[in-house]
Amino acid sequence: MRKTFPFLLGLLMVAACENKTYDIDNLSTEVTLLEDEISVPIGNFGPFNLELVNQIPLVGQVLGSVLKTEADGTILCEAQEELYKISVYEIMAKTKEDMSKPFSFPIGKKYTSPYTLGSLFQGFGFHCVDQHVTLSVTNPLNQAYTLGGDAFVTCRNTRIYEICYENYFPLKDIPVRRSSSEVELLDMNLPDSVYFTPEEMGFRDLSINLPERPADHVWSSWNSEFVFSSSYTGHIAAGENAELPLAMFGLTSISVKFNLPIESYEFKEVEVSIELENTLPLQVEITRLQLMTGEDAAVDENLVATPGDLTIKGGSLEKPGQTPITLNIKAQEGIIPDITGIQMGLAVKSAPGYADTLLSFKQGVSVKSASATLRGGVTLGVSNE
Amino acid sequence: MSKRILLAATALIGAVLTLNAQSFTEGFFLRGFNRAYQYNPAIVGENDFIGLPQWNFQLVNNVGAGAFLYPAGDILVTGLHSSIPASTFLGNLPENIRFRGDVNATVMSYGFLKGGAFHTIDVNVRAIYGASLPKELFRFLKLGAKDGASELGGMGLGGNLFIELAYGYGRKVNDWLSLGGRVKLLLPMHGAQFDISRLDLTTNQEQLKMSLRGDLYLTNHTTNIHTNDQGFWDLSTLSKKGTTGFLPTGVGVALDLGLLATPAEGLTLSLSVQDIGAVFCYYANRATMGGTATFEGFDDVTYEHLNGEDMKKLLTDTGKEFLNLLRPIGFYGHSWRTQGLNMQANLGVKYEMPFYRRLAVGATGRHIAGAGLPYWEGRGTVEVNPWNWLDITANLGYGTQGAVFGLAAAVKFHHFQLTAGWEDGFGGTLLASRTPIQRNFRTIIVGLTYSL
Repeated sequence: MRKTFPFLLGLLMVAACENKTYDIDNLSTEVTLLEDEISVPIGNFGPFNLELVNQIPLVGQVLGSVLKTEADGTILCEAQEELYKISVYEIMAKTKEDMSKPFSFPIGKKYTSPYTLGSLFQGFGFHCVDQHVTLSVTNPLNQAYTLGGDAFVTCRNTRIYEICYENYFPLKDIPVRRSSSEVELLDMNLPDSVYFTPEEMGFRDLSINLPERPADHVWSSWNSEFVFSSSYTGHIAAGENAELPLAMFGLTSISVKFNLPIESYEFKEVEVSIELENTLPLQVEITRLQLMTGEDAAVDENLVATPGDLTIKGGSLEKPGQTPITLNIKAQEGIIPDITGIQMGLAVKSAPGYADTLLSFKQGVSVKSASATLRGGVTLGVSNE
Repeated sequence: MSKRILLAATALIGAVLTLNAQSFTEGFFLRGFNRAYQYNPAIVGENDFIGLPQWNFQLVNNVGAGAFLYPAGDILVTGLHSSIPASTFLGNLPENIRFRGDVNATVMSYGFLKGGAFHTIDVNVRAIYGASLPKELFRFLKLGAKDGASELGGMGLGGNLFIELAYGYGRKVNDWLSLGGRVKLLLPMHGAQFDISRLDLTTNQEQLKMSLRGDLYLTNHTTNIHTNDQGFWDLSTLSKKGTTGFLPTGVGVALDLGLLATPAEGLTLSLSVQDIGAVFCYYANRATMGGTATFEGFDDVTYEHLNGEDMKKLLTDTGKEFLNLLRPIGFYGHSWRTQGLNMQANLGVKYEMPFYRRLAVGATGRHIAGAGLPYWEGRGTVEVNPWNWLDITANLGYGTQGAVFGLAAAVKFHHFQLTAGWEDGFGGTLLASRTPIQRNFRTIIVGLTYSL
């Protein structure tokens, strides 16, 4: 009996004693789940088309003021201008000719330099194509008349500053029908080989051959003016050597801000696989890709994105360019915080094989089949409450 | 999740339930133990008695808290901590993690000798609960999906509350042989059962897919849980008043049989089989859960979506689609479920030392046929009765959950008999919660009787 109780007590202590090593008060509830690897689909994003360019500071303001489109979205370069107008009564007041018989009223050179988006882009190497020029005049008289002088169009290669196109069209054989609201004096397509917008288009040595006492022939007293007008339309193609001068606008490094709230998941390494689909006839060269974090969206040196340089192929609406990209984002220390933007060097150039593709508002970039692979697990720090 | 939940989980993990009768093997050795018939109905009592309340807790677990918690320097970490290798954590887990618990309160018992037989009547309240988790679930949490696919089904959680009415009859057939039996009427009062039979996860670059099949059973005596227009359970209809009455929701019968032999002086052999039977439980509320949710990526996310609120909403909506698989869909109709009883077989031998009759040695064996968690053990026992008012027994053995031991004592004062017993395994427990660190089989019993 003397030995029994100590033995039983010892058994009790060995078996049932609380193991101080397992002190719940010292429990760390941090867990790391899915340590090996897990892949999840993300989805499809976009398209992010040219309309978003309007949101880029400065560039957007410039483009927004001149950007027009056709019904199918193709960017339209258009300029219409009234070159010159004069009423019959003004002519009669100014002329020194004998108006009792037919006479000629000299006007001289009247022209315009149409400014469109194409005018801006041609300096970057883009081509102005499908260029169409129209010069017209109205006839307030109830009988036909003729004009003297020439209609003309000249184009200058702004890169080498040489005239690349110049043509004159005599007006003498073109009757201006009576009581006409508009008679086309020149209606032509510029040759396909001309990639620059007209530097000047209009009339030289222009004169109006009027009948005697022209005031007697005015159709309506409230419409007694001769109005000379011009119209220009064209489209923009990428060409072979186009390159957006982003440096000119200080855009060699651009920042795109957004909010990707992933900090709570405590990722250490994320690999994102995407298929970029580009319908723009431009290839985009991205360099020095960096991620931004924080409310002020500052570049986070702790986050490394590889590859830092990549090229997105160009394409067209009919044949989009496909570029598979696998982007690895890794936090060198700690975890990946909320990503609030992306910063990168950017160069936009003509895409080989798409020189003749017209620029369209419908063109843009889409992200297809995006997926993410997480490695190293997701660490969750459980509340100690 | 908080520490409290984690503690509760570990406590639950350390808790084991066996739906089995009171299997207090030490009762076989305690001399004059009034409730020894609960171990073997063939044990004929020496006197009439009235049993005052007795509490019996029994727990069985095939994995202890030590499989989930690991000392790491000055702190304790879980197996999901990055410092614990997957091979270590998963190597400590069985293929199916199971635990069962049985809490039994004997409200009243009465034993009397009459007509040469020993009659017993017991009224007990029993609560059983248990859970089962597949190891694959923890493999997925630790490592992710294997080859993009994981099958995580086969988990369950449930509990039942019973009233047990038992009548026992034991009789000496001759000088050396006694036979006995107990008939137990089991009346289930409340119960709940939640099973997920299928949970398949597929994760790859093309899709995130979850297929789930689950069932939920809930007893509710007087008021059924209604469903909304879409057929989902509307838990707001589960009002506090009148939803649970005090009527049985089923019936069950169990039988204990026993044989006791004293072929030689001082030698006693015991053989008993307990809980031969089943319980039929009626669940007034039944629901199913399941379906398939697939996420193949967001579609047509535009630049305007790429701000915090819109993206959060997209993520939240996607999450809801998966969580909706767990929404219970009301199933109307009678739902009877058979609750199996874990039949238990006990074998015991006791021999009083001829040189000192107050000292006895013996051995016991036990087998509990539990679905998914069977148990067996063997123990060597010593018992000493130094004074008439004190009886002590201790044993040491080995079972499916490892090494086990037991201690029990019975103290008699006047007509009262206080009995306390404890069966447990080795390995220690967590501080404060007493959750076993190793896989374990544990019984704790405390009772009081008054001999007439």
